[in-house]
Amino acid sequence: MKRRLFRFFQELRAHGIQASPAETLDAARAISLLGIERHVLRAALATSLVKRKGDLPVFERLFELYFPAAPKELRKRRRHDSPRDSSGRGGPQPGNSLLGRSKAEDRALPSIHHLRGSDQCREAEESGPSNEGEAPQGQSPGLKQHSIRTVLDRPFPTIDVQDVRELQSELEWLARAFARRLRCRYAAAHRGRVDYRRTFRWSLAQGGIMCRIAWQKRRPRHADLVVLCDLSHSVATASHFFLTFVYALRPLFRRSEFYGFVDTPVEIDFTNGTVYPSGKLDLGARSDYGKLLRSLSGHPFRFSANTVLFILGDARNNWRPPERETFARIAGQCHAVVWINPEPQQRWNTGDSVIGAYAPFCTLLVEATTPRELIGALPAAFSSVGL
Amino acid sequence: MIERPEQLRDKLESVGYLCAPQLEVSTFLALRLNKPLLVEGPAGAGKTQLAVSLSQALGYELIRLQCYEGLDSTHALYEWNYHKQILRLQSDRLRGAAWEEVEEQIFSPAYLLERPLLRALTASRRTVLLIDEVDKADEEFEAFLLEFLGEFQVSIPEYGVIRAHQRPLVVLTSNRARELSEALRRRCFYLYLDFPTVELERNILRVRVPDLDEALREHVARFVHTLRKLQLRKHPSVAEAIDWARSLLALGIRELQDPRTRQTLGVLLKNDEDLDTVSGKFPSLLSQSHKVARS
Repeated sequence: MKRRLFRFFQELRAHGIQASPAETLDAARAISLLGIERHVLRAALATSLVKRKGDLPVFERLFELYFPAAPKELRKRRRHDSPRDSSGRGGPQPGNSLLGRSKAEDRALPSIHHLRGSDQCREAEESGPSNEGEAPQGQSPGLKQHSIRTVLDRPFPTIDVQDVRELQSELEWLARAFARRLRCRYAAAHRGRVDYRRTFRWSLAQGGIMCRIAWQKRRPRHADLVVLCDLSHSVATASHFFLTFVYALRPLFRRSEFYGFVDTPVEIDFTNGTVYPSGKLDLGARSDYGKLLRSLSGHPFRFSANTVLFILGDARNNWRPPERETFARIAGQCHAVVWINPEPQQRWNTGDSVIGAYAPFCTLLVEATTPRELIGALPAAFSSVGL
Repeated sequence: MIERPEQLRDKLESVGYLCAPQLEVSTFLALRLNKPLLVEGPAGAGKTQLAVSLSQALGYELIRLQCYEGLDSTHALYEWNYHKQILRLQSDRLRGAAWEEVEEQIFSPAYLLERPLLRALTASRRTVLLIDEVDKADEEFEAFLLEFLGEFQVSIPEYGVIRAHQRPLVVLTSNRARELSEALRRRCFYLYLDFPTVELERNILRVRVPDLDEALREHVARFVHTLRKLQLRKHPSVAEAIDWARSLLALGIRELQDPRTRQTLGVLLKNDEDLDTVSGKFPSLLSQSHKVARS
């Protein structure tokens, strides 16, 4: 049993479930406490060795192989294993994997690699030698094998939205950390103006000794945020990153409205990396900024002196009229307009790009061709509009 | 003393918490081997309730630490009671006490405000410590937890090291808002708590809403199961399923085909879009849930 367990641990590691010695010890303790009744054994091993939901299918498969259900199969396995044990090589090397064992096991193996699938990419990479020449080819040579850090420096057109979604939880964590950094300016001031009233009141509890000084909190501007996000295919990835970050910043604003558009604006909601439009959003349409601006300016109270307007788009208008005057009027109504263009600056105003028509009316116009540039541009954008 | 997982299951059942086989083994091991239990799973699968029920079933006190962004050790662990210390200083000044004496006095446990983690350590009896939504806390706090969970001790610079009299049974829950670190995972037993199967949910309903008609109970379990297969913003939780069963009972609805059922859907779904989706194809969903039964 000990030997079988040992080999099972090795096999788990070979398949990317990094069970540490502490964890395998836990597993051994658990078994000595509970015995080896099959379903209990499975539960005990699972709870002590597998610490990610995504690893469970792999574990299940390997468990089936190493601790098969029917006693008949068990005997067969024993016979099969014994020559190997007596050879004195101390069990299989971690890199040895299941390949080259029995035929039945061989057949079972490819499905394990399929199971590992997309979200376990990093572990698959770490498990390295065992999957040599097999897993890397099986997986698409895309983002999947990279962590969030390498994605940040790649130009937007080379990143697939689908791939970003798999990194969503990490991305959102990054966004929240970013939002927290902006927010802490307001949350806990440690300098600035002294709040005399609160300082005095605190001191009363300590017999009039002013131990702690209360500082006045900085109040954020009473700003309303309006975000326009081009969702057409060419800039979809950039929009995705942008939305993730700006959505995390909502607490900084009194009110916030998010619109997605291709040719008409539709109010959107962005949760868990998915855009939920409140109406019909035709992603197949051709971008039309002019039509967008016309329909936005129709609403009399949407823009005010408190409005900060953020636009993400490449201003590629499919040769339609840019409605420069409408944009000028909207920009005049707003407190500030920030335009983020995910296209490289050399390509601005080439072809059907009309960014030049809008540029004079923007408070800030920035180029952001990679996620890192986009994130880097945000603090500057916020301070330029007085937030 | 609990010797087998089945005993723990029975105890949990006696306080109305029914569990899947994996759950009873994981929890039992955490209890016997004194390791923290990390529970992940969709919102509303009963992660928090597990800790609450454990404390009831075992008769341990429940100490709860709700995590949030910006949670730090002064809120989680301890803080000196400055006000009381100052008062002490002032009264001692009047008496003219020596500084050494004063110092010894004001940095003693009497002047310590115990926050949940410290309270779990110093409790005289064993406790269940629930660290809820640990994924919401910052990475720094997670790193701080590593020390606590590894040694079950806390060092306070002015006072010394406080060790646990009785190691608490620690339950950490996470909704996977972000990935927890490998280091934390390694120190815990892991349990993925998914929504219950139809059979288990039916049994849960039997225990929690005993007055409900058996056929209807079956139907409710299947229907909720069907809803969880749909693409919704938020899937109905176990607690919401129980609430729904109770509301059906209160309204005297005998079968889900009853036209009033549609108006009770707000108990299950708390999002207008989800409501629209579901009430839009309510009849087809009902017949679908019958098929769940047969398969």
